[in-house]
Amino acid sequence: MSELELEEVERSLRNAKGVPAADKLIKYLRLVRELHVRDSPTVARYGNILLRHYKSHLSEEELWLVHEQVAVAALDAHALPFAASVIKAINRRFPDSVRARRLQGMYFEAAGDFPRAEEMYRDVLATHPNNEMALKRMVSLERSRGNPAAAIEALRRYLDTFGNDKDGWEELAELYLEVLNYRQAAYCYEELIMMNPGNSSFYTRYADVLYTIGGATNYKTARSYYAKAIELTAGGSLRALFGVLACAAHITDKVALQDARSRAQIELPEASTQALLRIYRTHAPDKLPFVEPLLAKLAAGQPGAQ
Amino acid sequence: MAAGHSALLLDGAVRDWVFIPLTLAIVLMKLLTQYMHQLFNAPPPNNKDLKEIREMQALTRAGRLRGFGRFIPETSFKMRKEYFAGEKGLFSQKAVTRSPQEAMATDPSVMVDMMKKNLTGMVPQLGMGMVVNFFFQGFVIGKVPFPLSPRFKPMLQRGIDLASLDVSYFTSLSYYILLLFGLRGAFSLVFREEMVDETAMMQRQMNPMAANPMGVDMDAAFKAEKAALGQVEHEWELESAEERAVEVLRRQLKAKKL
Repeated sequence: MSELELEEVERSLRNAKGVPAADKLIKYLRLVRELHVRDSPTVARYGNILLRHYKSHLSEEELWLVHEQVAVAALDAHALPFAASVIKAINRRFPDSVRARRLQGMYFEAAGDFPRAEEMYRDVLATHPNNEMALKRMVSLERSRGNPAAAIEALRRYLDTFGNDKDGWEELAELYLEVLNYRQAAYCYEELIMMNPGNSSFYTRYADVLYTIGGATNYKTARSYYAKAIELTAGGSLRALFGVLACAAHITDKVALQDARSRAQIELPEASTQALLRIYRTHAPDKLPFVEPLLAKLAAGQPGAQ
Repeated sequence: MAAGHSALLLDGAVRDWVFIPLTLAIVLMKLLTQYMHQLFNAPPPNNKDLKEIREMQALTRAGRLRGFGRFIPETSFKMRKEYFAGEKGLFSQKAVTRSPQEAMATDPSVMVDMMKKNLTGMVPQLGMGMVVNFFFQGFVIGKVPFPLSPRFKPMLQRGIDLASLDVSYFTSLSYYILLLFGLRGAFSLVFREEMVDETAMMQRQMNPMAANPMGVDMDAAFKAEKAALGQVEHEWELESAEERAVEVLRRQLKAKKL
């Protein structure tokens, strides 16, 4: 609903001749803020127009919210001079605000001046040791420096305190994957699954990590998680379908046909193959010649085929 | 009582030396209170320790583990359970967060904070009350332009006990009390920031414990969470995931060709 509204406003802005109307600009920026859309170049462009022509149309509170939003967007779009002017305005208005100093630090980050950015954040942390924004900026700072080990260390310290931050765990999982520490990454994905048990992508990624670690137990567990992802996506996740097949190729022990569960385990690869074939047949028939031999190999129990 | 018959003539000096100074004094006092309040409240109440946040968040995490632990494998569940509720687990240690009573006894800053709040709220009011009582007592300073029932007598004629005085006359002391509480609306128009709210302040003074809703007895919460976690047996939700997946796929395949 709101997304549609956003599209509509954006379209009318794009079609406007000359300087667009203030209320449309304000509405667009407000929707972007509310929906957490990341369309930095557009936001920076329209924010620039709004702040240049219609400053008086905004209430005091919203004016500075827009300033912050536009500053971050400008940094993201790497429009550094414009960002600097906006951040300067913010600093003039709130000389000792932590949020203003975060923006300054982010400017230094964007400009590649990492030591000064770090100094900025450390400064904030000295007075506000529990400032989440600054703690998280430290992580991203280390990441942009290309130092995942330090980033992991900073993020771990942050998550030890703020253990309910979903984005934090996601970031940590990615960082661990980057340094090939699969066991820790698995821990993060477990945490994420508990936070959001309905999100199939966490199941798939967790299964991927388990599969990568390897070992008979992990293959079986991974298969279960791929199966859960299949269940959640109603068979629509190709990654989960392939994952089931890959796991099945690794699991060598024979299962006797005793109960429903073992029967399901035997039937699952076959059903997944059928599902995959059907999806390829309808959506990408030209790829069928490649997929068919692959599936045949997987079914024959050659995991290397993928 | 016919109005014209017993009309009271008030001396002009009462207006010049009681009504105007009193009004001025109250407005100035309100201004002073407002600024003092802003001054003392300058540091936001963001003095929570990292460790305290950690404990709050750990409780939430443990609660989630209880609720959704069935979605992760058993070994992972046991590892977390051990971390939270094990012999050396987080919840077996003494909490860093202190209960409000404890905090008050050990941390002088809490007391000082409360003193400051009282200082800005109660002391000027008391002082003003005394000043008004001393200098402006016993004046009839005005008349409301409408008749009132005798029940308003104690409200409007505080400080003067005259049975024969018409109720619509009001005295200096009543005027003071009226202004004290009535000016809030007018002041909130002038100050953009939050006004000192007398009623809230009084509530706080009545019940200082209730004023601090963040005060949780962490030790008790830890104990409760530890016991609750100990009760939970891990039952892997994905035990039958494969069956359900096969079922889903079969149904899909049987259904119309996409």
